[in-house]
Amino acid sequence: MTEPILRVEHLVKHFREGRHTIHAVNDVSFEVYPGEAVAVVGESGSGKSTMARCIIRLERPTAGRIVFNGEDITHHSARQMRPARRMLQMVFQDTHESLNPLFSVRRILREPLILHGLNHDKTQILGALEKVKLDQNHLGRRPHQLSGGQKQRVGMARAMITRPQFVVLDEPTASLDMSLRLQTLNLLRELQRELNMAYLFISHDLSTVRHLCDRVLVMYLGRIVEAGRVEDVFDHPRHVYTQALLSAIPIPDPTIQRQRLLLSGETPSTRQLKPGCGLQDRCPHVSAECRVPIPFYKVSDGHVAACRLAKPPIIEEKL
Amino acid sequence: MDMTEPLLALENLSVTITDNRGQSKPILQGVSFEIYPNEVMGLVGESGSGKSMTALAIMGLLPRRAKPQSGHIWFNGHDLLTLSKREWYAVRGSQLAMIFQNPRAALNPLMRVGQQVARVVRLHQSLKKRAAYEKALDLLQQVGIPDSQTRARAYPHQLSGGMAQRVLIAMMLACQPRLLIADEPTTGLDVTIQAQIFELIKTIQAEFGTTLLLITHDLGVVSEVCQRVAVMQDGKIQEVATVGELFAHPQHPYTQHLMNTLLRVDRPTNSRA
Repeated sequence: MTEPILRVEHLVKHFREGRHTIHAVNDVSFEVYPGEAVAVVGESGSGKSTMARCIIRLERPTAGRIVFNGEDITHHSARQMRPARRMLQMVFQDTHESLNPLFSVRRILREPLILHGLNHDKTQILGALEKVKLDQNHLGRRPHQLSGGQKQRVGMARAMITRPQFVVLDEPTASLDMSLRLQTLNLLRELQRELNMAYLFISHDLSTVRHLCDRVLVMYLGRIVEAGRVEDVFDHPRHVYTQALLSAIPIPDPTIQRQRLLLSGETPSTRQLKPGCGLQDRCPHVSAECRVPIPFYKVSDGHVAACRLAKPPIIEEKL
Repeated sequence: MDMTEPLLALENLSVTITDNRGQSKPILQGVSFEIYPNEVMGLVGESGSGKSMTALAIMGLLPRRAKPQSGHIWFNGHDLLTLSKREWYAVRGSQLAMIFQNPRAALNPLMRVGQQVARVVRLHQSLKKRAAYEKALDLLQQVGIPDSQTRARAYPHQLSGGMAQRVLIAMMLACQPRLLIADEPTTGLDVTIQAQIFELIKTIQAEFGTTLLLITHDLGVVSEVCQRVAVMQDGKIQEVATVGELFAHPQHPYTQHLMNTLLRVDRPTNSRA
């Protein structure tokens, strides 16, 4: 069995907000294997972005362990993180804020190479630009001279130029138009195959996830509620939240009639954390069982759900 | 074609916008389409296609730099382009209303939301302050705001995006307009909240017979909410069809291109490459 490239164990991240505590991430564990694309899906307040920021150590986890490539990076300082950063990159959601407005594209791409002591001559930089379908005409431009899609691709080139083994992508297609979104996704697939990278793909767009990813983790209120291969989770969702989330997504096909599972109310505040299922106040199938911690029930190979409805039926054993 | 008169008809509408340097460029070019009473019409296109400008033109809210060059917007036998400022007061709100993409920005940040709804009620119905506020509470309840008595005392920043959009819908209900324009009403909202908002819009539409023009970039939303649809690109209408026709037999190359970029959540995509 291959070793996972990333192992997250019981990760917890709480923020102080005055007298309150924000429970952003609450005991999350999972693994990512080399070359695999894992999606983290959930709505606002699910903790998916905070979790990603903890993994690349832009945030200090409150508790738990993050092991990257066999090395425990949970408590690394910025200096200690530097060698790992070559292999652990991130593409940010807001391209406008994540590219230095004073730097040319050439300098944006050269910076990580110099920082990691890599060969930074022009062929390297041009090679990276070509991979994201830009060319030397873009080298001298600054971010404000690029379109949204071009900026997104520069962000991708910057992340991939150090040939990382693992890239965190935070909603990389959120602000793109339909046709550009598909192009970007296909580009990400190509790059992944070519460089054999693993992706952690943070998204609220489940159609995109279905197109790009191998496995999916569904998060709600800072916890993973369901996990498994994309086909298994999308075609046979077992947690009520996953079912509601999937049924809420409009399908561009007027010949299809679907039953919609509407949740009542909105995502509760993460200031107070109730024991048991996070969905207990919105779920139409709630029972007393949901108010105590719910274990992951195995649905099929690699597919688990923390919902009482996913509990396998009890088969009475004959004596 | 059926015999009913269209409620709204755009006829060859062209609008140009002038930039800082005094150069003008067309943003709408010969836009024509009709909306019939009680229907849900979709207007789709990518960013910059001119769909929001079309909505603003209908509402008489074009930015100052944008000037209609030719064409007509027929509503109720009048050309909206010829209305004076005073005449607009009688039309906007009570006949035509619009809800926006960023609902919180459309509310007054310094006024409690219940008061804001009550103001709209008083503008359109001759009620005393007290009665108008009661009516506002009714409306907030109708649009599914739980504990509306308390929520009415909230300021916009204390509401979630979904709740703020419900408040705008409550205001719209107070006006009972004949045509509602919804410009990306759920963009930026979570999908489970988007589903709730569309459910609410559909209920209201069925109950009050409001005609709806829904502007969106999401063909999934079009497929689930609309009956007919116009496809826009570069300030031009490229195709108008019933939703069934558009998805089954897209005619214009641009529509076909859009159809090819669709990703579906309910089945794997074939075009993986």
